[in-house]
Amino acid sequence: MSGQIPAVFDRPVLGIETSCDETAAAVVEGIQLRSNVVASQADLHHRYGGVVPELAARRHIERLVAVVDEALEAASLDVADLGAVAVTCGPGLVGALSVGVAFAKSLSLASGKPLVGVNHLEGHIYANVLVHGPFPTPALALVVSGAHTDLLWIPDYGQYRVLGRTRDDAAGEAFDKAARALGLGYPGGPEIDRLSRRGDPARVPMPEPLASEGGYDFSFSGLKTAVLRALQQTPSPDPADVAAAFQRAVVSHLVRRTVRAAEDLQPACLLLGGGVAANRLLRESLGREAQRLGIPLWLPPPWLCTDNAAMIACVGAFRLARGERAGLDLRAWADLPWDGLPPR
Amino acid sequence: MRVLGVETATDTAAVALVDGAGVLGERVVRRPMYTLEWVAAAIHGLLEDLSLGPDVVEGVAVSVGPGSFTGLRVGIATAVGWARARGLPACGVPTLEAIAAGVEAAVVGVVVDAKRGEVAGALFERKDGRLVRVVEEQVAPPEDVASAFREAGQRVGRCVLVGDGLGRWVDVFARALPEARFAEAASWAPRAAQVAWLGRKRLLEGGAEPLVRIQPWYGRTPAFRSVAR
Ligand SMILES: [Zn+2]
Repeated sequence: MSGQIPAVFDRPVLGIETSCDETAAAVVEGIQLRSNVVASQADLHHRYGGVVPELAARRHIERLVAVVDEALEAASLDVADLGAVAVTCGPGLVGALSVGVAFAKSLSLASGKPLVGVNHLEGHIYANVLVHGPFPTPALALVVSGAHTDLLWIPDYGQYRVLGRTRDDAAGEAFDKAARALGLGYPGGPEIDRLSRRGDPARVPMPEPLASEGGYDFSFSGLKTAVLRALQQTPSPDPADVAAAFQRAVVSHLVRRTVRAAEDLQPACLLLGGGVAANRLLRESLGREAQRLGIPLWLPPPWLCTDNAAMIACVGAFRLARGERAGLDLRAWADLPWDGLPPR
Repeated sequence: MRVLGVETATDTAAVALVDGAGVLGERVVRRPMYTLEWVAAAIHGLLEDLSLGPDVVEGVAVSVGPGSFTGLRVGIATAVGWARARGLPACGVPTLEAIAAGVEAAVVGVVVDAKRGEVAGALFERKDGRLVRVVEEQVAPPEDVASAFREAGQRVGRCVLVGDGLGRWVDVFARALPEARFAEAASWAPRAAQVAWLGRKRLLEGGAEPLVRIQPWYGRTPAFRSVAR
């Protein structure tokens, strides 16, 4: 029942990604990674406890051209050798996205290389393609990041149906909020994971979100409240136990809904993507369940889970092969629908 | 040398192409929040108007502020993207200097609305065909900029005032500088032709800048706040 593996644009594609707090450029040829440069801003936003949009945009314009230079140099290419330019046009911070979109459009116009706009979240799914090759369809994808928690049905390449999404916080956002309650730093995911290694999740009770509901939606606000409530108790519990219980509850919620969809729809493969996909416990738990179901699970390596431009160039290569091109009026969107990109 | 000028510091966005004989063409539009969609398409349209290809551009100049934060970044990313694509020399041009360049007077005061009750101002004197700063660029309440102009004006004489900051603050400047003349509103907006022309002069004098150095001059630092709640 698997669909056809589509053709891929076969010339080098320069990817540009500035949607949030990483300034990134990469070159992908076919689905081969030629270079991947990420200038992280994590240190810059750390002391504000989250991403500051204006600071992010300032850092993008300071670094973008040097990051692009480095990506081209590492691929031993110049602009003239490129086949096309791919740029993230949403979803993300509009001021941050604008830097990459303006740069990419001008580079494309001046060089005569075609331009394609890419949905950032689609990029997180395609991080898998760079390491494992094209995925079989129909596929089920879970995209979990600081701003999104989407469960998607992919009947064929470029087609998306949203099965479920978070009703309140995104999974990564929930990690950030719980980390703050525990007095940990930003970003919260890695901090909570580190602390929970010496904790016992069974010592702190956590609710099961949407336990009585069918469907594939997610909810994390109840878990955040449970963390706050646990910390207010006397005697106060060991923060490591709270962190471990919270992490286990988030992961089992994500895994349970995904497994339900996999059982209902029987995909040819299961794809995980997004910053939270780097979470050790999520990878292990989902791996166990996928094995039980006999469905192959594709995971990007942790360095391709966080934001990067390689995944953007990779999506671009598939879109270009389908003949898609962005106009010079391409803009930046805070939100983008999964289907119909970019909206006209 | 044919130079592309990009001006997106204010609500008026513009692109222009100049050469040694003057302005080849310019596209200008005042439409707030539209710069990102407009600017690359406008360059394309301008080149089409002239039946020229992108290869005719030999240098790039861009307005670097003060002005709208996002506008400046879109303009600079556009200019730098172009220069990088074709390996061209490029330079930044101060926005207020580009506005002053469009006014034929010995002393020119520029006042741009910087929003939030502030203006961006600078006072220039023409010496041997060049604009020399008498009051450096500053973003401040209009009263402060007006009094800085008045003090400097006692040395350099009466000035012509220009810029969209006059729309809202004309009375403040008229009171502080009773001798001053006011330019017509049609000359208030920065123009890409002036940016390109000033940039061309700079590039011909060897003033090309490394692309990473072409950065916005924000003029003020807002209180930074994260998106996390
Ligand atoms: Zn992301």
